[in-house]
Amino acid sequence: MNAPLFPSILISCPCSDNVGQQRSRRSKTAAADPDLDQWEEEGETFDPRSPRSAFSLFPLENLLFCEDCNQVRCPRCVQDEIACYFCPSCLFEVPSSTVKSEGNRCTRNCFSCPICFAALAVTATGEDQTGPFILLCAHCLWSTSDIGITFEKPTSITAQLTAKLKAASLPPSNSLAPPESSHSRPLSPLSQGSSVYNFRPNSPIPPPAPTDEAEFARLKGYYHQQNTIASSDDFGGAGSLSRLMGMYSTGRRIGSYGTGNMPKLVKQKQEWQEIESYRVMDSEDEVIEKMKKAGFYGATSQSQRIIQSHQPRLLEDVRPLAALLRTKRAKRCRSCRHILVKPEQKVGSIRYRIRLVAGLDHNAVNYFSLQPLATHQFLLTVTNPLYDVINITLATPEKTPGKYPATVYILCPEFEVGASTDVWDEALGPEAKPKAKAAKGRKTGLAGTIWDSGRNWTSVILEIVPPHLPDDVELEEDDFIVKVPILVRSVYESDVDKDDGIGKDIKEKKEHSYWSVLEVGRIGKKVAGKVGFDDSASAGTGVAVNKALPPTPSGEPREREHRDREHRSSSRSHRESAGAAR
Amino acid sequence: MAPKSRLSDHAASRPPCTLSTTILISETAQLTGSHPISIGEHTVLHPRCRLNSTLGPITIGDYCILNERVNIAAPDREGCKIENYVMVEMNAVVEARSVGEGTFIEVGAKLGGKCIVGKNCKFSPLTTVGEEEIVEDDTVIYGYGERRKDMSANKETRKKLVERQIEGLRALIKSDRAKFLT
Ligand SMILES: [Zn+2]
Ligand SMILES: [Zn+2]
Ligand SMILES: [Zn+2]
Ligand SMILES: [Zn+2]
Repeated sequence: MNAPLFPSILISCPCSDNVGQQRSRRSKTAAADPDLDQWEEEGETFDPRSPRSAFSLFPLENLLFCEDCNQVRCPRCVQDEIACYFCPSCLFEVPSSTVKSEGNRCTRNCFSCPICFAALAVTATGEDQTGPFILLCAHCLWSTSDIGITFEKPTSITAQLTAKLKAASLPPSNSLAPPESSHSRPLSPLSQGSSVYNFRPNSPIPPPAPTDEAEFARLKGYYHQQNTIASSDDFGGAGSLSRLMGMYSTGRRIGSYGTGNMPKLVKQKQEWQEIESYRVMDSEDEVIEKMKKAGFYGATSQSQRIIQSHQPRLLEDVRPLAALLRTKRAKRCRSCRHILVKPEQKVGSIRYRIRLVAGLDHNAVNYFSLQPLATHQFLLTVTNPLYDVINITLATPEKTPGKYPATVYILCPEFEVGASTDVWDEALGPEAKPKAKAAKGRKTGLAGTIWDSGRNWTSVILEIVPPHLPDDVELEEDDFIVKVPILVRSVYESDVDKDDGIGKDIKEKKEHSYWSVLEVGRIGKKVAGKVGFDDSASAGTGVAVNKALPPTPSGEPREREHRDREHRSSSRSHRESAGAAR
Repeated sequence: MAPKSRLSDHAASRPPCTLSTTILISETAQLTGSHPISIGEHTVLHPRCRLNSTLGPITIGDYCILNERVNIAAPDREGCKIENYVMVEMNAVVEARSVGEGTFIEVGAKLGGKCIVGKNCKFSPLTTVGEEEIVEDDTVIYGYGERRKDMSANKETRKKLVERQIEGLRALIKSDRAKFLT
């Protein structure tokens, strides 16, 4: 929970208690308990120190915003949906049906180096770009010729590699590569394990233990067969029931349930078994002898070994790794099913069609310690990514929750933040500036006035008096951190529907509030003789802009970079001028 | 404005140079020091590549490419010897006693003082070799100092590539050999 940098801001997602449920406010207020009623009305001060809080506080970058629910959404209350699969190397989209049948690796010419994991390139070894071709790592110079494999043509490498590996007769203990192994084999832990370490299913009859690959192929065939039987079973009921019983009952009982459909299957237990049998370990003498011969430089490192499906011990047995596919994901609100994030379907594009991120500007400030019982002033800067002016109300408890409460005071808890208009408006011409900042006691530090404001941001002063911590009591680390819960409430008017031209002029009042927790800093030792220590405005901390960049067609956060920079530099200048003002 | 070029400071102490007539040397390359510097045939020195012979002589073979801001310095009086077909990429620092034929030194790699590098080695970007270390032939240093032996037989291809690249550079770099001989 303790962020290494202070101050930091965490925002509370209320979902931890009731994900996706509207709180039944009415039923509670109906109760005759006036205390409860009041509790509901006023809301309870959020306690950042309560153990439950750890589960509901998130840094801003982990949050999304649902417009329909008017609510922040954390990773727990959004749902991922795979939009597409693609190969990170050739950027080809792979249909999900292919992913299911062929596995989650690229079946084109995308391989990575088994030594250093960089991408391999198809390279001609002959004169004038003629064959034979190899897969060459430009980084560590490993190539498939190191394991004695070259290709006749520079295309369909996967098929060629599969054929070559099949042809290569390798000792069974560390062989790989049966038919289409490297890419069509699912990477589930069940199918992966090394032949040496794992307990694996064992058909009771054949003494020569099958290799992983043979076993995998057998199981695949078996389940495929089961599948066809199941789909060809016209009589749904009795036949499939007995078949199921046959599958799940132990070997001896199978016979009695067998039907005409599956006379061969019931002869022996064919499906996956986990513990029922153990496997006799292969003799390792041969491997040890080989390792001795190969020496240190001929052996694979741990990471090189575990990334390969057959887990080779020697470098001569490594295989090029087919590129693992990646996904693009859309995210939905769990409560209303509204899509919060939707990436562009096109693989090559990093744009988003819809992206509702919760926006908040946050300047990291170096760790510094707070002096007990001295007044510290911070600048709280609210930036607005919306195209509408927002009114912010900040509320904090006078004393922070916890055993040793700090006193908190926000000089100007209610203020307005300008709309996020074009950055050039601010630069070109004073008439474009928001009226709010006109004159009204800028940078005076008086109660009831804002400190400073700009195009789409406003800063106010937050005063904190940390408590004096007793010396004679054993304190926990958490007691040293000053955590200020702040209720941020914003009200703004926005166009009802921006898409249809009819409702253009109708404005809708929207209101949104949430709890955030500001971790200001760590209370240090009291320095004798330095009472009025004042690091006024040493922290320019942005709190809160509650809502997202509206979904623009491109989805790119416009000028965000610029705004951040501008904002940061402005808060830096506050710091200097604040020193002078005080 | 950039500070005054160091080249002009050292103009007085320009080292004695033996430059092949076929080399390609940019006028902004910097040869400094007092010990002799000799450069073999068809070698390319890019702009702002620096050779410093203050502590010892520098010998560079044929068909080498020394890229921009490469820094080559002799470690001591025995000097620094770079053999043929050595490619030194941008920002690399070479203070080796010797670098073998066909070695590639990639961007920002650093060969520490008096180290001895074999033939056909490759140093991946930003890798380093310690002082007085001996690097065997065909060693590839990559990642976080991992090493492997390169068994592939495409060394001749690499040499051809270097030759072809030098041909291409002839059209790009204006050579000013005379400047370094006066
Ligand atoms: Zn949540
Ligand atoms: Zn691919
Ligand atoms: Zn590699
Ligand atoms: Zn929602």
